[in-house]
Amino acid sequence: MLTVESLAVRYGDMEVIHGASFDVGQGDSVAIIGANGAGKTTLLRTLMGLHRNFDGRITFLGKDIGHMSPWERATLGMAMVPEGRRVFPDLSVEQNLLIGAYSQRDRSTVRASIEEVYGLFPILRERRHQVGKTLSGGEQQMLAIGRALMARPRLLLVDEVSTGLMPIFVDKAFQVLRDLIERGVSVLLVEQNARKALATAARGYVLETGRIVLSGTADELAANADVRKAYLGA
Amino acid sequence: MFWQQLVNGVTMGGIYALVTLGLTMVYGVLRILHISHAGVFALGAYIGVVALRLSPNLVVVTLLAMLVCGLVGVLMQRWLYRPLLGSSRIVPLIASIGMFTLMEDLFRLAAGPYVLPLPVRVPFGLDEVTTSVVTGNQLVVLSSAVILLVLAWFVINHTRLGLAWKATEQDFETAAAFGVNVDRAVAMNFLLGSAIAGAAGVLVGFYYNSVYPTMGSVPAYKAMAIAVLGGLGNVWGTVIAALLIGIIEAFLVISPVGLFLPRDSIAFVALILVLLLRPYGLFGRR
Ligand SMILES: Nc1ncnc2c1ncn2[C@@H]1O[C@H](COP(=O)(O)OP(=O)(O)OP(=O)(O)O)[C@@H](O)[C@H]1O
Ligand SMILES: [Mg+2]
Repeated sequence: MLTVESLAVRYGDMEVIHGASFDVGQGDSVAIIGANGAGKTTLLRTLMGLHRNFDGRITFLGKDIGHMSPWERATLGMAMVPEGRRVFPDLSVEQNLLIGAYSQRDRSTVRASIEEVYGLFPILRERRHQVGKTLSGGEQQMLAIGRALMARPRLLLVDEVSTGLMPIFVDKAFQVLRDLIERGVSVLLVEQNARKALATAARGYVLETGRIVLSGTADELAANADVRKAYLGA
Repeated sequence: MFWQQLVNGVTMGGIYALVTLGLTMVYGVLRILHISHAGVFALGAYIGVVALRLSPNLVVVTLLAMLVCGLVGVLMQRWLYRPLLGSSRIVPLIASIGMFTLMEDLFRLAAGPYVLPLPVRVPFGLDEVTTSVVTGNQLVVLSSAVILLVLAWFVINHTRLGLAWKATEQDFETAAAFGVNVDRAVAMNFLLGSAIAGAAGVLVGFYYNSVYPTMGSVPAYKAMAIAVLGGLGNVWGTVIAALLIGIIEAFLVISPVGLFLPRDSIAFVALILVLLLRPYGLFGRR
């Protein structure tokens, strides 16, 4: 589904991702774990087309998408839960969700998606006429997740799904991702929370200052001594 | 007398609203002060003069002016502003002022430094209606302004495009990541804003029966003042500010104050007061 080959990403002249290669299969779930500044957000933004200063090949559904605009990638079936939520501050909750479904033309599908999201996060239904910036941080995170679900993506890119959520909602957020994976949606999540990420995804990569230094099944990584020491605090 | 002046004021206010709408829409999505918008306004009037040869009907003339001005607006976005995206904000501003001056000179070169008439024919003889309060010409301008403002209101609030504009304005990256073609949304924004300015050009040309190269000069700075008053980027604030200025002007000219304070200065007096007291506009939030 998604194949990334020798991806190098720069800010100006400074290279921050140094030739990363990985892939996400159809219905696959992949976690990329890494510390602060490892390059996780940079990586996802590059995949989405929001950062264009890169070399290497990005193939999605058999197409080379490196030159495509973000909206073309969205139309192909990519969606993201961005770092820092990026909820539209002056749009209502419902309008935020509608933007999530922007590449979805069929009205009844959109309605059904909205109901589904409200079912998952009832608080969003209560707040549906409130504008984004008046939501609490946790509510905004739920909205960011819901908005991405509205796109009915084939590949969901998730940047730190659990930031700002109370423990009970952290579990909920990961449960939502697991349900999605179960339904056959491919998910690529980047996380500092290695424990949850490896309990959710089937496979994983470890990103260290812009280099992929380890890869394996989630179980293998969770059992790896270096990973345990660096990311699982064991 | 009172009602007459009120109607005069509302008529001018309606025209100001039409001219300022595009300005504030462009500021909303691009954060650019689009001075040459007033050039598009004057262009609309000139297109009207040319269109008269095809048909004297006001509706036909206005639609043609809207079409041409809309396209010119899109070209400006593509060829003038897009290449400057990412440079400091003063650069597109200067480019825009340059473009406006260029347009005024082009009008002078093409049509001469004369005042041309714009004798359009109005459907249903609406301009023949006269009452003690409102003239037929005012009815024409007012009803056209209402139609165009309702059109803009509808597009902004009840279409996918309107939603895309708001999303683009608030966070264009995230909008793009969810499938909004940000490039096209911005182009459509210029298209609608410029088309409405073009219509305003025809209406002003018709109202005063005069079209001349510098007819955009006063609107250029007055619209800027009104846009700031309304809270730049705030469409409804802009409409209300435009009506307020139109009405205040109308009453000022018949009051003793009008003897020493020229009418075109009102917008600026109001602007200075607002900048001192409420710098985020009359209706804006901080
Ligand atoms: N806009 C920018 N300009 C220059 N350098 C940047 C920019 N954004 C990020 N960087 C640098 O790129 C590197 C990777 O940053 P990135 O945000 O991708 O890390 P991250 O893994 O997402 O970190 P975190 O876990 O803190 O979110 C860091 O060294 C950072 O300083
Ligand atoms: Mg990050």
